Amino acid sequence: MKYHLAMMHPQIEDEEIIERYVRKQLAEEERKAFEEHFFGCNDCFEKLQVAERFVAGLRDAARRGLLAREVEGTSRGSIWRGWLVPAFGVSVCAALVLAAFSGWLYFSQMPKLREQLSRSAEDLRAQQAARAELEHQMTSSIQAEANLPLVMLQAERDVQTAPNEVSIPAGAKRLVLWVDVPAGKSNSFRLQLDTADNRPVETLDNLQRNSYGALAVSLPAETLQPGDYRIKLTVEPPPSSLLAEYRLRIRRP
Amino acid sequence: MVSALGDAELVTSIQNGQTDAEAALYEKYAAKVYYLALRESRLPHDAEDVRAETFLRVLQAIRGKSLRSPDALASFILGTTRNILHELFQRRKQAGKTKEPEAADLSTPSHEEQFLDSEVQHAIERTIVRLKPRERDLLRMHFYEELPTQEIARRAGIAPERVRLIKSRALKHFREFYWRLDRASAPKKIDTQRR
Repeated sequence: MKYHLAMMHPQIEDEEIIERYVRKQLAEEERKAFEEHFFGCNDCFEKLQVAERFVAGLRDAARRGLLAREVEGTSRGSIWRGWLVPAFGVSVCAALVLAAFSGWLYFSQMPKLREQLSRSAEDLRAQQAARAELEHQMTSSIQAEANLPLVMLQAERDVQTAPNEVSIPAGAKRLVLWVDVPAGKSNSFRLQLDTADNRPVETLDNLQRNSYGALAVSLPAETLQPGDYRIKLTVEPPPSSLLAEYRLRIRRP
Repeated sequence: MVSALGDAELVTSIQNGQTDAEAALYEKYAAKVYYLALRESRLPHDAEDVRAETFLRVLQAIRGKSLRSPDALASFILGTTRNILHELFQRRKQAGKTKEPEAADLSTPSHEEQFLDSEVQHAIERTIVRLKPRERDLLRMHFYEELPTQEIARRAGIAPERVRLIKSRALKHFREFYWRLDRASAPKKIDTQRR
């Protein structure tokens, strides 16, 4: 018995002895040893019979063309290899490129775009504010205004002379100055409004006498804070000469 | 049950004149002797003759108590088979026929054909359907084109171990399919066991 068990099952399994015996690829000593083994081992003889049928069946199938790559009834594989794989590959590549572009856009360009958008929004808000202000001013300018404050300026004769006073009520938008101009040949005048400490507030050129022989000037009330002002009236064109000087005291209730 | 006896008991029983022990001995080794004889001789009728002559000589040796070690009965039967095959090849040579199976004419039926029947073909077809195209390529290269495993692995772009795995898996599927078909036609036996 020890002879036909000389070749042990692990060796038979590891070295594919059965298949090699069927295919007649064993060396003579191996062949004899395996024959000794299967003559005393029914399991291995049974496996040998199955392997003989398997190899005979496969060779027969190969001769009949059943082991060709394209076997009838298995066209699914050929379709898959034929065009679906390339199409799938192209789709995957396109998806990867798109994903890479999206990533680049998100991580690289999006912060810049957000910053630009933020700046644009700020610009827009500034423009809207400026437009609202302008509209407010235009609305103010075209609306009729009652109880318009007005002061008829009297030229100062000396230091003790009381300044011209006017009270600008709350809500008043304009202050009208009425200036009686001394008779003369000049028809064009300049009016300069300064604070008492000589900071310029407003300068109006090309003033013309009205039908009363006076100058009528409208000043924005909001530029006139309570306090004392000096008004100089000069003749145009240059060289200008001081025609008159006035003191004005603005009061607000 | 005589059929359940070991080789030593079978020898003793035959030597004691029990004919059912001779039948049990034949039942136990006939398929193996026939398989080896068919594989070597390639001709079924020669294989049958070898099998008959082998058992005749074995039984004579047992009855004559010339078998040195009853435990080595299997080896004795194998040796007897080989001797008779050798005698067969000598006769063929003397008759002008080829001696060695490997040198046999291509028209000589291979023992492989004795294993091929409709059940084997059907089981193989069912196995092939379950294979991927690359696996079919691999089996064709291995079993039909007889390419070395390394070359097959190189062509298929896989590791040699993978070749072995695919073969093993295909064989497993074949065995399952074949056994189902074999059970469905239980009385039928493969010709390798014919008497």
